[in-house]
Amino acid sequence: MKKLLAVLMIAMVAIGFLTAGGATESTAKTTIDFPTKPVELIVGFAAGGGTHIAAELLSPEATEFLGKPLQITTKPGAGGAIGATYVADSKPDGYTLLYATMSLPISLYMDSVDFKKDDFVGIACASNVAPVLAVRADAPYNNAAELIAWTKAHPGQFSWSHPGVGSTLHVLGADMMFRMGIIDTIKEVPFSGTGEGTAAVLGGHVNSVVGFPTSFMDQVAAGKMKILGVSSPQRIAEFPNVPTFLEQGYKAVLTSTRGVFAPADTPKEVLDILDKAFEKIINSESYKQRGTAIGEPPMYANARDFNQMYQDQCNMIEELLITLGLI
Amino acid sequence: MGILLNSFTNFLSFQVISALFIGVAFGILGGALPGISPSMTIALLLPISLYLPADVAIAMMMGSYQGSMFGGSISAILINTPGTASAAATTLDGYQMALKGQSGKALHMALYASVTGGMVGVIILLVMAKPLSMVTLKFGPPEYFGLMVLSLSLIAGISGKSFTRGLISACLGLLMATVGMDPIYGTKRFTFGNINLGDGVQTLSIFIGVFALAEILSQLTKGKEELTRKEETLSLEQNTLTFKEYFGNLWTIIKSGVIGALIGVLPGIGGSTACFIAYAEAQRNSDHPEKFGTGIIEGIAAPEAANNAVAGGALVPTLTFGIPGDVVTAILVGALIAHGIKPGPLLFTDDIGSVYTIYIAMFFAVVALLVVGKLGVPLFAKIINLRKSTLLPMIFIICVVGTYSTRTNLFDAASMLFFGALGFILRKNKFPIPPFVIAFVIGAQLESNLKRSLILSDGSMSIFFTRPISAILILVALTMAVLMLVRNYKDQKKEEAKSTE
Amino acid sequence: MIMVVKSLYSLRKQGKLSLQTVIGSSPSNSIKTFLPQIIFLAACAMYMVLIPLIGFITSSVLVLTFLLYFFGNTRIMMNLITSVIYVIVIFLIFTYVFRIKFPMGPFGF
Repeated sequence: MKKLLAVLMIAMVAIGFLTAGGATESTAKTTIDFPTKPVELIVGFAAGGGTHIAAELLSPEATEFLGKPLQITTKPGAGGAIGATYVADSKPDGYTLLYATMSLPISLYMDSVDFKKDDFVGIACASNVAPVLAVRADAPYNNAAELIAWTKAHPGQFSWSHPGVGSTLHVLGADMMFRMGIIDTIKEVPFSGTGEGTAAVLGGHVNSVVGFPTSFMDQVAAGKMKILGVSSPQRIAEFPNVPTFLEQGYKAVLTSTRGVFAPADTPKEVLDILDKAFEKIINSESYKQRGTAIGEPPMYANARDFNQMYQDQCNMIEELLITLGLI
Repeated sequence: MGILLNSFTNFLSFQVISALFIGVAFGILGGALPGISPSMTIALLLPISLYLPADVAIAMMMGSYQGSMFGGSISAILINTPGTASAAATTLDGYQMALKGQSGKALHMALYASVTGGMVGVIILLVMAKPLSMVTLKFGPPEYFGLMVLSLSLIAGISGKSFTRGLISACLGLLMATVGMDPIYGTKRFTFGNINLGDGVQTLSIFIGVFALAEILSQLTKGKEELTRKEETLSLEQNTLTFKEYFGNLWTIIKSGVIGALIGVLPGIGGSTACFIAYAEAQRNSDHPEKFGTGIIEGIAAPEAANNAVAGGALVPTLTFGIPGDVVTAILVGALIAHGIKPGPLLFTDDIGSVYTIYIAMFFAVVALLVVGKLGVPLFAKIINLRKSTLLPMIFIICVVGTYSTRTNLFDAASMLFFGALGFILRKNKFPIPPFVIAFVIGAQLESNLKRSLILSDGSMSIFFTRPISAILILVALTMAVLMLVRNYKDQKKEEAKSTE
Repeated sequence: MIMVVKSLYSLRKQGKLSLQTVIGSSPSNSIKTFLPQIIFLAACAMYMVLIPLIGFITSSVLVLTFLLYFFGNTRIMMNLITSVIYVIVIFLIFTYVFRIKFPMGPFGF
């Protein structure tokens, strides 16, 4: 029985190879025919989470600009590493892509993962969100300098929170604290999600929370919270009156970019097709509108630029994690 | 009041009502299928909802929220497989009732308890949103820790005959909760270098393993004759819920609803904890606590009322602060924002109309649940009429599919098999399963809040006793544990006296 | 994929280990009493290995047909038909209503 099965399997595999071989041979001469079936976009985070929703934003236009639907699959776990592993191990034919955040470079260095930096090539940057540092409105400090002075005067009393160890906001927040030079005199309290952290700040249990702007817009408008600074090269649309850390003299400029990646061995022709398709999707009015509405400010970068960004980010994050003592 | 009425009349359009029913039906289906969590169901509706008018979208999502909370109980009762994590407590008595041929009665109880619980949630949301929102803020890490200790002490009540075995079971559950990344320091524990264990064991893999798969394994001890025997079902009269039974449990249902709503108010705790607490509380106050777990309707009424009420509670911090009470409301916030409704402190002053629309949507979602459920229950109840020999293998396949679907990861299905074997061994050696499951559910919150508190207090345990709420919670927990021990000791003495006579 | 299988093996090994150590003093006897469970779990393990190799549909049909027989349904043809219908219905619901993607076999299904 087992033998028969084995023979059958071998035969099947052989047939598969033969037909596949034949197909590539005939198409290699002419222009490549891609895509012929739905393209799968893997998200390494839970269904319904911010990253998943951001990825869903891409799907409505896909049929129009890519020619086939974009199928979004969530493979959550280990800070996105499970999804990334899946894509790194998948067939590099352009039908399995990864939607990743800065967690990709983070897990490269913080986790013991089976993929390497060069296993992925960037296709397109889709959005860019800048993290902010939020505190209760009645806190005795209004900007970075006052916060630093306060923590100097009250060592060990200031606490900051982030939505989880190894998350993008953890690293971005640690960068803020490091650039302000206060990381060693303050307490770090991780929560599981920005919501829990915000509730703890409002309730006075911790002093500050690092999060993305949309989480705090309403709190700020209602006068319950205030923003001490934005980690971004420029001011952001959500809080046009809040100075960046850079303006205040601290070099915290890291933002969280999200974008689409492909396995590194994907054929050049396929990558080009994807590059062009995603350019049209991300630059379409309807995508921009939806992205802005839910707090995912669209930012496009083409494959070459995004790849460069990814490489730079990797180096930067590695350096940062070493300085912070996180690896 | 005028605005409320206005929102009310605006709401009653054909579009909205049909969206409500579609949402409920979709929610029930998703809830009943293991592995499709309420949040996944709503996440699937999110892209569609972006193209719908705001009130239609809200109606659909609320419908599916309520629907999926009830849906989980269908598979919990009929095939001992909790369809959602919140339905885990329902399996304890629900499946036992189904085994007795009372699946119709059990499903009806679940439906009416869900509907009543949902209503309790709506009412609490309507009348007490503002004051309750203060509770959300009062609860910091030490208070959460106190609450978890209290929940843990409730386990003692449902540990069955042997206190010691219950404790061993609970410790094993706590141990399982430590698998994965340390929530505070990020150290990887018991992951064996496998990134699939990075976030710990999946809750659903444990639930489905120790409940459904362990049951299949136990059934295998029976002979083939018994498995292939045609199931006898009771006549319809014996299989529906009487008014007396419903009203007899009304107090339990309302109390469980309140427990569910209060737990829902606290972000991050979740439905399954709420249900187990409601279950344990119902058992503690019962005249016949020993009958819990043998298939009685109270055991279904309590958790089912609680999990639908969680929805109402979870909306409190969502609407008042813009802080989602659970994963489902987090998605809801995304949808609301996309429709230009910004949940948060300003919503009640600037946009009270939207608040009422949400309240009314929730109210009608509960009504729609009653209608769809009432039509559906007789249909669902037929599933159990299959022969065991056919039903059990089919359940097995759906268990694998369900655990795979939670993360589209085959590893979770494999770990479900492991926990099935473990659950079977535990059962064979008379270790009670509920303490294991509850301890696992509570473990993560217990640990992370202990650590958070100690960071805040620089390592001093006094933080738990200097803050009034956590001090009270912990003292109540200690008192309950002591009382339980005393009762247990007395019972044991009595038994001994009896056996010597 | 290989990792999944590998981890599965380690899990199974642990499972078996505890089965024998917990159940007791005379392993030969306990193996006999728990033979159905052991066969069942072996079939499950086989199933886990097969899914990534030959796809979800094929492996599920094979396993379900076997299990139906193993649980006492003796009509093999009937079992096969039941399995095919059941697995396809589940597959269609999960794929098209809930957008879950299943591993596909080398034959395209």
